[in-house]
Amino acid sequence: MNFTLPSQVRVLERGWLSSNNILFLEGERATLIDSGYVSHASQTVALVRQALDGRRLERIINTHSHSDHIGGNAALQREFACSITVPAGIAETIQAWDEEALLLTASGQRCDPFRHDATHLPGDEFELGGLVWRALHAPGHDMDALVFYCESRRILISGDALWRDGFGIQFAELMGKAAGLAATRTTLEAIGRLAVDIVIPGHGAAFAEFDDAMQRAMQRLAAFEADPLRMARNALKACFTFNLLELRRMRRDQLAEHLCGTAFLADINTRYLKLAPDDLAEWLVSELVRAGVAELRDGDIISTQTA
Amino acid sequence: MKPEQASVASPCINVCQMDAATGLCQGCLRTLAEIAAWSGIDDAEKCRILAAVEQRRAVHASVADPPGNCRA
Repeated sequence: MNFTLPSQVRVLERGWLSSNNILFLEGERATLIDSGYVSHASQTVALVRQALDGRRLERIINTHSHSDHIGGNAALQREFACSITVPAGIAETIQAWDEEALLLTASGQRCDPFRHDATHLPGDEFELGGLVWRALHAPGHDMDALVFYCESRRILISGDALWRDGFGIQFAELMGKAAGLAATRTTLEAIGRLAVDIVIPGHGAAFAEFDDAMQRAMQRLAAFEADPLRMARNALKACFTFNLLELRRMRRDQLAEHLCGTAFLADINTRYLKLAPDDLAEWLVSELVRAGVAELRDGDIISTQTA
Repeated sequence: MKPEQASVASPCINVCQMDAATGLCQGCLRTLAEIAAWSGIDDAEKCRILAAVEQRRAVHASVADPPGNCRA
């Protein structure tokens, strides 16, 4: 590695179905940022227990409310009796457990309900691992998302606002709910103005190549601004690939029905791709096979990322 | 174009279920300690873990080779 994180920061690197879980050791206590997907909750609990090494998990903080970041909250809270802090913008959604607003029903994802205890507002400063962090509003992929920035160590916890190569699905923009793409531009420009040595993303390894990641993200953003259909195609592929990570396989002859029955996917097709159900299914399978994330075998679509 | 993989890639394949009998993840065949430590260890140590995973995979008679850049 070409960088070292402070010793009290432990990144539990997961995959794509579960977000990374970032543990901050604080003497006898600890704080966790983001808790993975619900179907991985028991492994998340086991991993956290392993990394805690006898300490008490006092607090979970979430960057945003997508299923792959909050899915372990309920199990961790049951196990460790920790508090849960969510971005202020989604407090009402969590309180009401609004599965529509949480993009659960719409995107074919699941999550165990939980109650939050506190919220973070953009601009809030707080301690993690004995360091001072500031919450910054990072709308785009999720309109209420926060990223957390440590100025003294130049570390950015970026959630799904910035990855080594890209950023999360533009749900708000694609569903016509908010000017998500414009928000992504504002967010990336704000992040780009920070002095950052290390990024701990929501998925993938922590990295030091901040400038390179920013460049890639801005290029991707520009491509989406110029070609919304491309953005829509990418989102549809990414969202279904996520479904397939959980399901691991699906009958090929059930795909068209799955796509019609999953509101976000059907909506994207209606607004952007405008393909007949069978054509949409055929397009999607060929794209996923071409990308190497799925294969067709004996009438099944099989995720190559889970086998 | 994908960024260069300077580091050994994580073997996580999104199964994430610990097998009580073996103490290994059913997907990546790492122990809890190995998974938890992964992000903080160097490439040499990651390669050692992946080599151990290969041995375990052989025991479980799987055909899949883990991807990565541990080999010359």
